[in-house]
Amino acid sequence: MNDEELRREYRRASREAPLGTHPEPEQLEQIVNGAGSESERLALLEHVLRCPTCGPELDLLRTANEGARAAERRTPATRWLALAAAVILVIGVGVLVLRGRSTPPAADVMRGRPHALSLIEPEAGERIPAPVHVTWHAIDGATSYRVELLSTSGRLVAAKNTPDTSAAIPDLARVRANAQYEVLVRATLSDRTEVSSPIVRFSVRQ
Amino acid sequence: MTPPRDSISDDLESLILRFARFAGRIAHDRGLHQDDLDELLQELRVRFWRARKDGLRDLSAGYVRRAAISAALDIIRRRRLERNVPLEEKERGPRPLTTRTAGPAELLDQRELAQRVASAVDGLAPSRRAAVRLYLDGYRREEIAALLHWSDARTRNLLYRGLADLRAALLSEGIGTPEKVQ
Repeated sequence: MNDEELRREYRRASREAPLGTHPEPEQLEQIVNGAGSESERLALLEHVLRCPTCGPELDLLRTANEGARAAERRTPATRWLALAAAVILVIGVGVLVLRGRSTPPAADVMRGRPHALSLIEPEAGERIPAPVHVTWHAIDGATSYRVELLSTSGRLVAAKNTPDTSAAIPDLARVRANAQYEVLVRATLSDRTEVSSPIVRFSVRQ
Repeated sequence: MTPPRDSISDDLESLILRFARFAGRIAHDRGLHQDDLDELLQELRVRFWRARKDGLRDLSAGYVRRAAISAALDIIRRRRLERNVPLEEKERGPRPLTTRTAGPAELLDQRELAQRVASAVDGLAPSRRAAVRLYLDGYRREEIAALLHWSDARTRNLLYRGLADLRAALLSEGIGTPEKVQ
């Protein structure tokens, strides 16, 4: 089952309030603030995420917390940074135009099958030469893709964002020969949800 | 009496506007009702107005966040007091999942599949389970990391391994098709 199918079935499952008392509002705040031990917060979340009463309460607290953080972040200094970023963006766009539009714009993101993101290469268990090239099937509604190369312990080794359906792993210095790696692709859809491919493990040969 | 307009009043008003814009996006993503957001904004305004009246002279770091959290907690407490019968759940009901009507047999199949997915999620290890629940509930990976207070690497690791465990558990029950070796 792909991510969308899993989501659909998970949401379809009737959600009844789990046994036990609802956490106190201060305990919901504990989740948002990261206070207390992790096991305590995970136990609270286990109730909250299945409870039709507590779920919306946590959403309200998160909205308050994240909204305030974002509002506070926007200081005069960040306004200058935003202006600088805008200038860089304009220059960057100009350079791309002058270079004959060699990079496809975001609107030309490769589109294809709905919500089933799978890799074409590398194949699972394959030994491939460096540089690592990753290719995947396009999916409908994708606005961008992100390729992530991970160590077998899950550490991020390299990543690349692209509107296309293939990418070369950019940071070759960190890819070791004869080592195993895992790769996955995440698509961001137009409704801002994400779909990820299965993780594929492969190794790099000299 | 309304406090005189000055730079701190202007700062507070502009903070409220920014808060409304950012919070509105999050509330929309999470399917929160506009009424909830309006109530939160109203509570926040009242708090700012009181603080200004009590002599608030500058906005220290974290002030807005403390005020917003305290406003949300008050709304939650008030609703819990009012809610002898959980009317809210009945009024809102579950999120609409499909616009197509299914026949009784199809509904039964759908319900069974959904319950098996939910049971498979219940069987995951606690930390992977939390990440997977949030992901299946529509949270983006960055939001999961923020809510669970995990690094991006840890979130990625636990989420994708949790999803792999979930698929393996479903596959052992004959649900889904085998992926290539992962």
